[in-house]
Amino acid sequence: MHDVITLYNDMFDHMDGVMHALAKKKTEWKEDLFFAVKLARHKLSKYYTNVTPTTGVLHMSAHIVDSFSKLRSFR
Amino acid sequence: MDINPEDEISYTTQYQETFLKYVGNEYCAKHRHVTVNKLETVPSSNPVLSATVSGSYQSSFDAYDSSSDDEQYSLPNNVAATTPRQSDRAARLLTAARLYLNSPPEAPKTWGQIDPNLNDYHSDPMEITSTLWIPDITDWWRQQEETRSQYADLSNVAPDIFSIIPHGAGVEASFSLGRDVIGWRQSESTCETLREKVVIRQFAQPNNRILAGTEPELDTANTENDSEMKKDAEGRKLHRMAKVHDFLEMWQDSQNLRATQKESCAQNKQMTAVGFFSDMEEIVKASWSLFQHDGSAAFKLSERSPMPPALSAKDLPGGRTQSLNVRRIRRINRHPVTSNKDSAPESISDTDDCPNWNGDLDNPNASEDD
Repeated sequence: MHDVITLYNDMFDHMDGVMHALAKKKTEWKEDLFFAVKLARHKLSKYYTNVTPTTGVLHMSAHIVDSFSKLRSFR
Repeated sequence: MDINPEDEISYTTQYQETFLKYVGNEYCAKHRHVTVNKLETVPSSNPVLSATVSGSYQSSFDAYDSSSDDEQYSLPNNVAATTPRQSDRAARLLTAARLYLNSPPEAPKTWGQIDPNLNDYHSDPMEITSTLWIPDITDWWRQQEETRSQYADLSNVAPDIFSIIPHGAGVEASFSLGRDVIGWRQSESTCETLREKVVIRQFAQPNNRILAGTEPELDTANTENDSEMKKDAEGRKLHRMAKVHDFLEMWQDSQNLRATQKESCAQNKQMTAVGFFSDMEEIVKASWSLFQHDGSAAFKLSERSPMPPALSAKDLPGGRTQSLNVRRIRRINRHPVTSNKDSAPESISDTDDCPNWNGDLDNPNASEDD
């Protein structure tokens, strides 16, 4: 439970890295992969923005209760 | 509560406030039966508690689980009277929460967890599971409770939260939905077919398997096997629909391929006519006007190509080849009287293969034997 937001952040970082690596590639399959990762990130960000203090109280509380991260991931 | 995306400080502040509200509502107002709007009874000698009291935690009481049927949550606020001891306990809980939030995150080394990345060969190998090392948070909270540390009052929050399973069987099943619809041997099914089958199945499932129809073999009286039989009938129908759909799609593809081939063939012919190289056979129709009627010029012409050297590609239509019909006639002796009877066959045989170049070559079909 406390890893949900951490996993979100890790996936965002990974997708950003892949998109940065594939941004200037001209090969067809690399362009397709770039487009697919872009759509995946858009879908994931759509879900992530729904985790607000009103709707994601348990996720945030679980992340804060993790004594090894606390509020560090939100900064 | 909404977060302003442009304000980065508001993230931590509002998350912090959210956590304090959660602790206040769930553990002060519900679990302890202490109404948080009675926190005015907290002695004001403690500055931290005064700051806590100033925040009202009753406004978002129903924001978390207003639909809960738990009797414990349905208790009105004034059922459990707030005693000074309970108020003090709630205040201590909120104080511990604030101290916990204001303290920096814990480091694994500070409380003696085994870190496999340190190559500690004296540790238990069973505890060193992998290089992906995740600290045991529940153990950390257990130690806080056992040692009666400053966070001991907050230690009952962690087990309640960590016992929540963040995933469910329905979510897991959605990942294997594609393999349920299309097996390993259905590699030629298109993605459109997969999409349609999933949509139809998801629609038919909550609608009492309407896709199965009213087949006579289905026994509606037997409710136990009814759903299974309807599911099988639905699967058969879906399979037939998918086969017809795939066949129609393959037929349309073949038609498109055929049209493309025809178009490319016409384009190839056109390119040949304007001078491009082509793999098609070029058939040249020779014209009779290329030949001359005088004998000497005709023999000279035979050494050259029947085509003029600068023949343009526009003069190369795709007609059939026309062969040159050269009639062969017998030579007639000028003095048949003086000739010998035995020599007559020899004169004919020697010149039998000589072509008559003086004939009308422009009209090879006309006969001169008349």
